[in-house]
Amino acid sequence: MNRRLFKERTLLIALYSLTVFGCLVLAVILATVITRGGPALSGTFLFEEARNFGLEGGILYQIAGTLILMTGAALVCLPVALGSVLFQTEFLHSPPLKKIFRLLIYSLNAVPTIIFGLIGYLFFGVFLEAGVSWVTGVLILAVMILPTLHVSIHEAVESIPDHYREAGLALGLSPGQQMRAVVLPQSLHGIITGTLLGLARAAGETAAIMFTATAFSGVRLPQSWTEPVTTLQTHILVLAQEAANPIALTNAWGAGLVLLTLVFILITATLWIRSGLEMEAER
Amino acid sequence: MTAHAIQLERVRLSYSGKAVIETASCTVRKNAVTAVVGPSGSGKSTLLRTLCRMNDRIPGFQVEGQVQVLGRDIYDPGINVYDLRKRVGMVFQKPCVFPKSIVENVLFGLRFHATINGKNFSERAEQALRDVFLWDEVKDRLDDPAHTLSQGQQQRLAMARTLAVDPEILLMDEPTSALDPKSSRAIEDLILSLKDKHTIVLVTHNVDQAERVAEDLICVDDKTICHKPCHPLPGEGTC
Ligand SMILES: Nc1ncnc2c1ncn2[C@@H]1O[C@H](COP(=O)(O)OP(=O)(O)OP(=O)(O)O)[C@@H](O)[C@H]1O
Ligand SMILES: [Mg+2]
Repeated sequence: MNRRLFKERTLLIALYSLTVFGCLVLAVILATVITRGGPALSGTFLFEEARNFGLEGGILYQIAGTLILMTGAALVCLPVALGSVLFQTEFLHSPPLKKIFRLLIYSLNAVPTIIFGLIGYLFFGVFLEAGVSWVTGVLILAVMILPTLHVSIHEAVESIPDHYREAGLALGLSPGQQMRAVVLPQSLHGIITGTLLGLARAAGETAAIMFTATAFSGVRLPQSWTEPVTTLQTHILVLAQEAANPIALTNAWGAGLVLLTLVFILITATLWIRSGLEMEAER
Repeated sequence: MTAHAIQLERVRLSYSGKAVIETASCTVRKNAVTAVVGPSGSGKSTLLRTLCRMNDRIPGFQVEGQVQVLGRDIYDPGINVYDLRKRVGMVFQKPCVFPKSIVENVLFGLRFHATINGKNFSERAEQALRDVFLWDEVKDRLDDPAHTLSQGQQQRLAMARTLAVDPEILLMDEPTSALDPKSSRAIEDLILSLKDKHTIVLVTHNVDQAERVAEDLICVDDKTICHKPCHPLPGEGTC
């Protein structure tokens, strides 16, 4: 066997083992969550409110709270992300400014979420006097997922084939008309997948909303702008702290399983929509 | 009012300072077909795109000299470039249809320009499709996706879309080079039928095609351009 072949083989084996290792970690996590959390699942668990600090009853309002924060964040973030992308691609023509704008978005993506939580709390909660409320949570999460949405919408807009743009341009469309007729329809898949990915990211977030938007017990659906919600993430965290109580732990795992399922559904929908729209675009 | 649709005077076209065309002066007659020929990379497309300011969004592209189209200097700061592009339509080499129905493709530009109601839209669509001899082929399937058409039909659809906004000048950049001979001939016939109402500038690689459809010829070579009569007498036809 010559040296090159040997080198290639070794590299291949290394790659394989790394892949297998990655998949294994994922499988172990999934298996653990399912075996530990599975026993907690039942109709009661999913559709009733928590009683006795999460030891009895279910997680109905936790699921509702998570969904409220997620959809709220997406609804607030989408127009902002879309606007900033269109500003960057359609109206900003100087390359250095574009670079700075891009740098800004990427830096935003790298800020630790606890910082978002802190700043968000100081700004929305204290300065705007919203207190611990679901609106604060929605706004903080919206800022947090902004880079995710921005980057994926930006990618979709940049990948619009030039001939579509040129065809629109040659017909005398103004930038606004070009946006409506060409840019938005042709980047729809990126807008949808970006939003879903952003949602998935928001679903996994705990630190930023822990002390700004959520409370642990006695919370149902918010009746006003300034009330907190309760979420799966908070629920898991608080229950997990009672490590001595096996019921609490099982319920924590159960809530974790539900959260994981929510995220899984989002990611699957993302992939499904993306492949569907890509097929349409290629026809 | 000038007798020429287009008039270039000492025009220099460059990308980031590198000249593609060093100096060009020429005229294009109204309601005639003018063919632009020249070797690959000589700047035919660049010249054509200059005429409807399609290169505006390319950073570093620069036009010097005077480019008069329909009696106005189109690189004058006061010019409305969207209105210009409406009056100077362009058809590209590769047929470009949008992932929409056939009729929506025809109305793509018109919808933004016209202040007419729904019924008239379908009339305008029919007229545009008749103009490109496509009506009989698609009248029963107007709502089908446009990409189900053949390449030649798609190119005619693209022309119908451009004609629907009623341009005075039609620029075409090698409109038949992606097509088979039969579809190419259909486009050539179409070009001849359009010149009564439109001024047409056609870039082509095909000298025979230029001879078949064009009255005037513009040769682009060596960073300069020159006129030639299309059917040169013996001894004539040198630049
Ligand atoms: N966006 C651009 N930036 C820089 N240079 C360009 C750009 N577009 C074209 N050029 C250059 O300008 C010259 C002319 O290009 P152009 O496309 O106008 O040629 P053409 O005559 O249309 O060629 P063909 O017959 O192959 O279509 C080429 O040397 C090309 O490299
Ligand atoms: Mg060309």
